[in-house]
Amino acid sequence: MSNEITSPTGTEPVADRPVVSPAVDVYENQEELLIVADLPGVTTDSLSVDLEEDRLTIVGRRKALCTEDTPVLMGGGRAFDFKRVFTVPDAIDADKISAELKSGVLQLHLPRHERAKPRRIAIRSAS
Amino acid sequence: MWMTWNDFDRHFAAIDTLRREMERSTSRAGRSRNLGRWPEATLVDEGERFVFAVDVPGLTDDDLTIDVHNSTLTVTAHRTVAAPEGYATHRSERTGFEWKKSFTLPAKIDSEQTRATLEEGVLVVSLVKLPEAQPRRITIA
Repeated sequence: MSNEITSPTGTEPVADRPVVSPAVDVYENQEELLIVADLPGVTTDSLSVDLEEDRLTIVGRRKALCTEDTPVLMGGGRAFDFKRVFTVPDAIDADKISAELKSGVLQLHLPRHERAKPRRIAIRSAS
Repeated sequence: MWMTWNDFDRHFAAIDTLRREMERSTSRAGRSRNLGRWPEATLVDEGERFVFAVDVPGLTDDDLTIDVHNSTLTVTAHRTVAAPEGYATHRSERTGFEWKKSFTLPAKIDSEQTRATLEEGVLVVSLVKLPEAQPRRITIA
């Protein structure tokens, strides 16, 4: 992200746009890692998923619900960004990552490399 | 009418402040802000109507009810979150919820003209004020 400076402890936003950490579930089976994130109000156009080396960054930009001068009686209604960064294990096949966004919920499939899949070795008798 | 609203508003503000405090303290530990079951809700006054919005990611029309009576809006929502079959769970921050919230608006609402949309997991309810509650500019005779 261009509006951030990297510090040894992480990153700090420079722009005056709040950053919110979305609720995320992480599941795993023998085929893949599955990341599920709540990103209400985020569209496919305002969502980015980037993998840089082993850093997977999910950013969803959310529009304001109203203009600046509309009286807000409750809550916020301001624009903000959802952001979450994960370290992805080597065993993931980066070329095969796929994502779907439905009703404000992102499902991110991170398939394992073929070589990283668990394998049972058949044992033949040596008789 | 305004008293009812103000009481509720104060109540909400206190919870909101507490939630933000908790977010601040937990965000450093890298945890989610999604604490408890309080929904992210917004209410704005656009003059001729109020617009109410609440985050309900993953919900469909069937999971929501919206009722308007006089100046009270009542919304119910429920969500269940279960691990997909055959997967082990590493992290489970997305919670199911079931809530019912009533909001007393500071003006009477035309229930016939109330409209609701559900897009990208955000429910938006447009509540048109009754004619007598519409803002009016008085010309000086």
